[in-house]
Amino acid sequence: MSSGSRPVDLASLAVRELFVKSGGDRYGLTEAEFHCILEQVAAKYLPGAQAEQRQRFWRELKLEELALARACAAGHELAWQVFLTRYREKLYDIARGITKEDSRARDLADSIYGDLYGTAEKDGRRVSRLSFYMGRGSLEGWLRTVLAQEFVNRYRKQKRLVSLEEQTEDGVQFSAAVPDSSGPVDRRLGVAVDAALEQLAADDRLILAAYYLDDRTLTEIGRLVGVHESTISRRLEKLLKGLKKQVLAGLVARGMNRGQAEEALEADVRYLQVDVGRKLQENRPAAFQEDKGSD
Amino acid sequence: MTELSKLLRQRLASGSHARVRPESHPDADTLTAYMEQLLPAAERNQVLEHLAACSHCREVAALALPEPVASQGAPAVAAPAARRWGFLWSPRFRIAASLATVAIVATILLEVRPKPQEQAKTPDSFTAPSGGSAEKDTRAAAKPETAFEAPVPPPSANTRAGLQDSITPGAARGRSEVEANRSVAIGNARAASSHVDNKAAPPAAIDRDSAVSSLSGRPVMAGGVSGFSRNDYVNQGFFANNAPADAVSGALFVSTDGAELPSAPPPRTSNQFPSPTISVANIMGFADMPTQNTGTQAVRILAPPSRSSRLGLAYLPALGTKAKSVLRHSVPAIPPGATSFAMGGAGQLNPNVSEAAAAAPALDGGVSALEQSGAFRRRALSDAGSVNMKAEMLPESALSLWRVSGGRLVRPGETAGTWIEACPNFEAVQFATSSAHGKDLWAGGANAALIHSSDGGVTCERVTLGASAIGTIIHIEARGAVVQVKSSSGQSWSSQDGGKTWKIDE
Repeated sequence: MSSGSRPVDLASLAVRELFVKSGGDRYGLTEAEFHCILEQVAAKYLPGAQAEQRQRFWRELKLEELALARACAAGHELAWQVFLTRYREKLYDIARGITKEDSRARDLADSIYGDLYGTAEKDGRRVSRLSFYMGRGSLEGWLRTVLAQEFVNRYRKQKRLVSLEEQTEDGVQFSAAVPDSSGPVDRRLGVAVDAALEQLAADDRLILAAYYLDDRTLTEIGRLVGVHESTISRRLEKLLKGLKKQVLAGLVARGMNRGQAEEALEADVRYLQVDVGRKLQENRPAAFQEDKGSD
Repeated sequence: MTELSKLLRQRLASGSHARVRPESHPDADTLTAYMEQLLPAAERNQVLEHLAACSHCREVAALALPEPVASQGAPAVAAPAARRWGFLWSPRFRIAASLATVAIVATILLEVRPKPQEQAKTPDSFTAPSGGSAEKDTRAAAKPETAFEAPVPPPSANTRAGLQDSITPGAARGRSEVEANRSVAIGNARAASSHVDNKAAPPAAIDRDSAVSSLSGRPVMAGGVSGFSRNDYVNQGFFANNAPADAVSGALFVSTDGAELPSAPPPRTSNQFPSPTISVANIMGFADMPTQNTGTQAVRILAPPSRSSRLGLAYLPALGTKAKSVLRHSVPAIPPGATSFAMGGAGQLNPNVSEAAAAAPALDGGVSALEQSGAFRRRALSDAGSVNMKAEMLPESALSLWRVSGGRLVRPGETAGTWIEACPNFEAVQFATSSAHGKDLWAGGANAALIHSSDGGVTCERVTLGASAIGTIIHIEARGAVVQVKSSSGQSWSSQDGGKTWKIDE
């Protein structure tokens, strides 16, 4: 286990308390090794933070699961037994929930198992994906996220290679032609809409994006944002009303009279300019690779 | 708003509004902490900003969300409404609603249509005793469980005056059930008991309640009122005023071994009853008492109290128009010449026939013992909904009580246990059905045989329907000159001139 530079300015009592709480000694971890892990986590999420801030941050970590994951990454046998007992079936269940199909779920879970065990080597040492777990969320949640990332990356890649025949067999229609950006609609409309969107809160924009772009249900959006789906419904309605007012006001502010602004708002959206390049760039599947690399 | 939605979809897809560039994605730990709502507000807002702009991370986050569990997942949109009205679908409410519905329906059926059940029961449980037999003889009848003596009170006092035209067999059956089967007590309330039956009191209720009342030691009130569950049927004042002298003093109890039971008086025919002398004042407690002229004498009809007084008003909306029709129902008109009728139902007593029925021959078609006796006749009502108020009037003559038994056409004789066969000169005809009104008798049988007699079966003549008539005559409907017969082959013949000419109905 790589420990890096050994911290010298920590309160040893606080670290010892956290170490005891983690139960890391069951898996062969020493207090010093655990201290190094904590420092690694703090360096990633709280760079340059004071000792007190770090200790407060550490106390919010899932210490027991962090110790287990890191012990597994170090190849501790008992830790792996505990890990497999706790998460083996869960991992398959999670994969099944993501893929909605047994064989693909097993394939996905098996591939993640390989990563977790550490099939790749770096500097002559086996690198386990569990060494990237930082304990900010639950280990099960982290495994769930890792599986989802792997699924999205893997099957998005595969989706690009689907032939036209397969698409036809799947009932996929041919994509519509990219609309001509040089339409008759006033460019001020797009600018006004963008300005109105920028003024929204982050969760409001997330709601709009999940609803209009991802076609998520209100239930899914509610779970994504962490509020009740009825709240999502009310907020969507409120958002649309507010946005219309904002856009109309923005169009008036950009030189239109009220009638022109309403007419522009009701224009056919096919003539609006769309930044296709930026959209494609946004959809680039780089999260998992970046995640792996950064961790 | 539709165009705005499309506009938003396009502008959101362009990502030109995004404050953060989606190139730097949050790692799995951060996303996990976000979904588990463990991030501090500032960091959570950063993740929200990223998710709003990054469809990839939105997809990952959506996939990584744990499956909603009913107990811990977000409730459905309709959850508030479901909580509000959810009790409607709870098993407890369903059971309660079902029970309430059953109770309401049962109550309505009992209240609106109480008589058919009880009257249908009457023929099965009533067998008139042979003339002059005592109670012990009655017990020794062929069907001890159901054969009851019908003690007829002595024709003294004016208690029974005026009741001969309206007495029903349920009265005798009601008391005789107690006396013969239970042998526990006899209230000296014969006249009143008859009167109660005239009020269409349920015979079963009379029997059971009287028995239970006697068993429990409750005194039987003069007039036989005690033990009746339906006191609204009973005119207390009438009983007090009209009870015989030996009954007014109170209840008369006897021992259970029957030693002190009074001997049953001989059965009577209606001819032995005195002429009606009942005063109006004595029956003023009854509701619905229209007076109708039947030839030379006026007959006062005693009817149960108005339905509306027995039905709770709450029933009326549930019953709808049916309830209204029932409530509006009136006592049927009495055709001229009719002197006997039954209150409240499809059964009626034939006062000219002896109540003895032990020797009555078995009838074809499963007719009940009561009907076999000839003393009671049951006819189907045209309107099943008008249950008990639609009594059919019968002519006075017993000649209308023809029955088919063993392929023969018979009617009760004037003396008990005797039967008179009609149309003896038509022995070759296997009769299947008959229809009689007074002395006008129609009977049909196998091979489309149709017999008509206009003198009560003394002389009969064969009527030819038509060359194409086939099958057995199974139904005859005669109303004056209009006669309609139906055969087992499905043919229907009708005559408008008393049977002189016939035509087949299409």
